[in-house]
Amino acid sequence: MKASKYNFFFPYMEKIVGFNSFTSEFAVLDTFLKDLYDAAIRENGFDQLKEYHSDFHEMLGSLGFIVPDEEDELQKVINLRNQIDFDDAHYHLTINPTMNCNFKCWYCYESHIKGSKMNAQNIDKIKNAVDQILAEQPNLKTFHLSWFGGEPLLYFKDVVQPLSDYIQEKCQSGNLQYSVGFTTNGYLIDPNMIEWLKTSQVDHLQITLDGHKERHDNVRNVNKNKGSYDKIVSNIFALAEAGIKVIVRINYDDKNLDDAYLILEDFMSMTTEQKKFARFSFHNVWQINSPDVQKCEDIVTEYRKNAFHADSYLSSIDGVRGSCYADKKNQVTVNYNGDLYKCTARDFTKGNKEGQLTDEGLTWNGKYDQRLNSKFKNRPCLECPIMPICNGGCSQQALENLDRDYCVWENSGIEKKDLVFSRFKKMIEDSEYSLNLN
Amino acid sequence: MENQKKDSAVERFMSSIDQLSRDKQGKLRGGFVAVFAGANTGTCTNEGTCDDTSNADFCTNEKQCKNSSNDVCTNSVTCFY
Repeated sequence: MKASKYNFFFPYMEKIVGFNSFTSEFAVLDTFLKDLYDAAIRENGFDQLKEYHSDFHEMLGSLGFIVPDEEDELQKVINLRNQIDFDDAHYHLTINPTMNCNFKCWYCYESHIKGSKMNAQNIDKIKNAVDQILAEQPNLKTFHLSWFGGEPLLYFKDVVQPLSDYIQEKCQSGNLQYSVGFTTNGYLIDPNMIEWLKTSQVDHLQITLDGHKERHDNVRNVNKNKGSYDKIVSNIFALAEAGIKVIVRINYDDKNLDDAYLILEDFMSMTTEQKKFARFSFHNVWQINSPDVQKCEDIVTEYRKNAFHADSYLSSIDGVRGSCYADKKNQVTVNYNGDLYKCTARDFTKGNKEGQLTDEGLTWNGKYDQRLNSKFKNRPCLECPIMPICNGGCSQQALENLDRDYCVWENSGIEKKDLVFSRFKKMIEDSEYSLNLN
Repeated sequence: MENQKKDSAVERFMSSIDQLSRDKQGKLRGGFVAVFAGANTGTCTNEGTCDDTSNADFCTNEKQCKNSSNDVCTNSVTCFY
């Protein structure tokens, strides 16, 4: 046996916390046992360790901290990635009905286009493409539809509702498990829409708050005198009451993180049942390079203490098992004008385009294959002990760094230990506060 | 990360390990047997089941992993002593 290359250890409260990033198992070790482990590595003697302390040896093996000498661990990760990203049992279609939005958030990376709206021809082409996908992929078991934009609910009746209904019906008749999700600012949701959502196999809506009322309204407002915080919070309550899951994304910068405590107060009146349908997810806006990791972790803890599901950005990173949708073969993002993309975190420019929606279906250009083959080319990742949970970020980051060695955490102020500790803390807190529900 | 609040769940978890450590010189909590000083092992080994009821103390999710060998341990932290 040999030590796994994916072991990561750090001292904490006079103990050693060990983490294997391939198995995602933690072990809290007495320093004496870590000394035994280190001695076994130095003397190439895990067989001797077995004689000396068989239980410890057995535990190291069962948790993946030691592996057979002949095991190619990198190949195991590559195999796992291929199994996940090239899985042909699932399809994920993302549609932007428009590139227009009713808000103008200062940090938004998109170029909004007034008057942009998916026309009837492109709606028909999407229907044809879906028919084709369902007919040509006999192994499909699930189909997930995501609405993105721009603000997708600007064209709820003209685009979202008819296309969703069409795809839902097609999936049902084909015995596919169908679900739909929305990335929306949540302002345009009304009771009629909620009634439709209740019968439309909604997986979740992601709705963003940019701070507490004052700051949020400063970023997202209808006009100088009319903000959106109260209405959006009210809509989140209404969705949770209707049993529709909401991911409340809290975007933070270097000024508004403390607002999260005030936001929590606004949600404290949620019932236990409503809380099951709200998950809070914290993300620093991309213009902030060095977010206050510790403060964010403390805030997440406060939410969990109050029985809310909550994730920090660090605790949710899972680059192989939870890879981005854009990394997957069976995923496409269709823009309102029929341009195809994979990633939704970059501007939908002609230069970023990866294909075209045509009468024949989805026609990809060379970027599609380049993206799918972009992983496992970055040398630092190949030697990194946390590669199975990070993998150099997503395929977009791999594409943008093809010509250089990189680490996604360089110059971020975030250390690998922060990622691992955040997972450790989440596991303990979810357990302590009984938040193990999905 | 070292400056976690004193009453944090992580600190309580780590302190519970210290308690086990002190207890091992006398009657061990949970009744498991020391392999030798400083080197006992807990057996809530992973996210499967608790395969030894006597070691439930090692599962931090005690509500779900206390009495029955068939209880599901939802927390895969393992502690070695």
